[in-house]
Amino acid sequence: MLRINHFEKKYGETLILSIPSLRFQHGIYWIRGENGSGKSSLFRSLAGIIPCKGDVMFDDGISLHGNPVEYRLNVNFSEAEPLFPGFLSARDIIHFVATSKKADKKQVDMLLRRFGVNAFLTRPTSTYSSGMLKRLSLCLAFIGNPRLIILDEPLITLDAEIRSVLFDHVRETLALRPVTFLISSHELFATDELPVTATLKITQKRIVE
Amino acid sequence: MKGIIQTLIKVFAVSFYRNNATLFLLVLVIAGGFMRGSDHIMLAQYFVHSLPLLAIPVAVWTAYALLVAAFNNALVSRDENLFIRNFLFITKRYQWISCVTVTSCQLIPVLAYGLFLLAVAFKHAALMSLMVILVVLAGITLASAMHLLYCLRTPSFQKDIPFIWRWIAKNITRPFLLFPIEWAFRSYTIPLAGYKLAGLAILWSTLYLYGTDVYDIRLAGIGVVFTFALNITFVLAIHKFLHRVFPMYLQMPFSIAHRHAIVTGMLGLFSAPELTLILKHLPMHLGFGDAFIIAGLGLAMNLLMYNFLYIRDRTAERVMPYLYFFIITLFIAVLAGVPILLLVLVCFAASVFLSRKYLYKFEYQAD
Repeated sequence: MLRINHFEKKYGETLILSIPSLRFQHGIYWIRGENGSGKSSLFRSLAGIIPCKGDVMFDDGISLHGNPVEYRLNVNFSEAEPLFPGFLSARDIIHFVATSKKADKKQVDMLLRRFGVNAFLTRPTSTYSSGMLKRLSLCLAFIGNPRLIILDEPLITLDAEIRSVLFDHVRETLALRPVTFLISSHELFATDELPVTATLKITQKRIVE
Repeated sequence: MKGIIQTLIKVFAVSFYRNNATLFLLVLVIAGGFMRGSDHIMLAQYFVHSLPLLAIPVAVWTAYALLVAAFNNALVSRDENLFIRNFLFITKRYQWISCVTVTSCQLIPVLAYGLFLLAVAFKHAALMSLMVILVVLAGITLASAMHLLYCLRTPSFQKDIPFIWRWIAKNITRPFLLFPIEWAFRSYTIPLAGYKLAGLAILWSTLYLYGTDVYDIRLAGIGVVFTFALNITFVLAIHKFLHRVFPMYLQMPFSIAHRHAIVTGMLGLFSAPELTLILKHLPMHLGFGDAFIIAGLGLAMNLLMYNFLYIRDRTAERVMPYLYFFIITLFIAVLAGVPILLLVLVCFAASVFLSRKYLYKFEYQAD
């Protein structure tokens, strides 16, 4: 479970998003909002990539600001439009993330196979299509044992086959261990594709159910 | 047509001068501060009267043209500049005219000095030099325009990856420490190579002085301060890489000590030639321990320069005044005989303090 209290994200003096209080149980949360509503800022803040104010804490007390190392070990994030330095190969990036997130080799091999990253593992990412970049980014989001997985627009540029692989993997991960998924998407999910726990909407700098 | 050229000039030429403002400032200080008008004319006369000497300005122009080419190449590859590809909808004739105009704007310093040399060559009837200068200037302008046209017509993702890079990608897994170093060298090849050579020259000259007379450790300290100050381009580059190019780094579960070790490792690898020079060539009377302290000063001051960037998001231009202040302060401290080990400890402690206070509050926006 993840608790958010007095969350605030500002750029300069401009308030982007304010969340007085919010709790996420295990399951899938569909975060909706118009372009520019602050979804990506919320996700990047929760992932620890950009600073924010407020308390973001797991139920065992591990918090974004109090325990930055342990918190980051428990949170994985896939960007809406992933970009990687073009000279690096998927293998370079995966090796770095897997080592940092203390993932075991079997899990990494399984993810590479499942998301079809093996096919372009050793090529520089500058040669990838946007779909390949997305597959790599999604694969990275599952590496290790995160308790919170944030997927920002995971469906854009994905073909039907990988979309189905992603949904299967999310369901299987949930069946195996308690994980909270925060997923933003402009596309509608069918309930048989993903059993969404709750849908939240970001509007007027607030998040509402 | 005029509008297109104006847009291209803004995108390529204005940003080129902005990005390299420090370099131009340095050239202006050297050319304007240390040489009088008559010195410039005398130097030009030397150049035009001897073809081997003329090779010096030609080499500098070529290096400058390479800097322009690397800049244009990087700029076209950026996502925010995708709109420039609309340029391909204008006729080929106008494409050429636009590219020649834009690169001529970027080459203004080369063309201006070239015209000055032409005037001197004409005055002294040095016809051979006059011809060479004309051909070189025309060649450099044309080659730069062709390169820009090629960049605009060929998106980076369609370019062939050289065999060596494909082989490396296929056979070697890069350690993370090399990511920013490789990126920095790919993105800022000429400035980094130039500063590196200048730094090594300063350090070598300083250490050479020990062979001519008896000096204490302060001389090496001063040499190290100026040599490692030139690493600022690399420091800014790794900061940009870790926060903008590869923000995934921020998401990794690394403690502040671990992040310090990573940055120190990167600085150590990048400064390996300087460190080797210090450890190998510091005079015997100073001892091995002093060599380590001197090397430590270089690394610690670079580490402090890096962590200073966390205080506030600043562009490179805005960082420079602070850097000058820091370097002059260090220089005076070394000269005044403040123990170098103490300076190392102060720099390191300040780095730790700054990163603990600002690291998780920092957001990179400057570009």
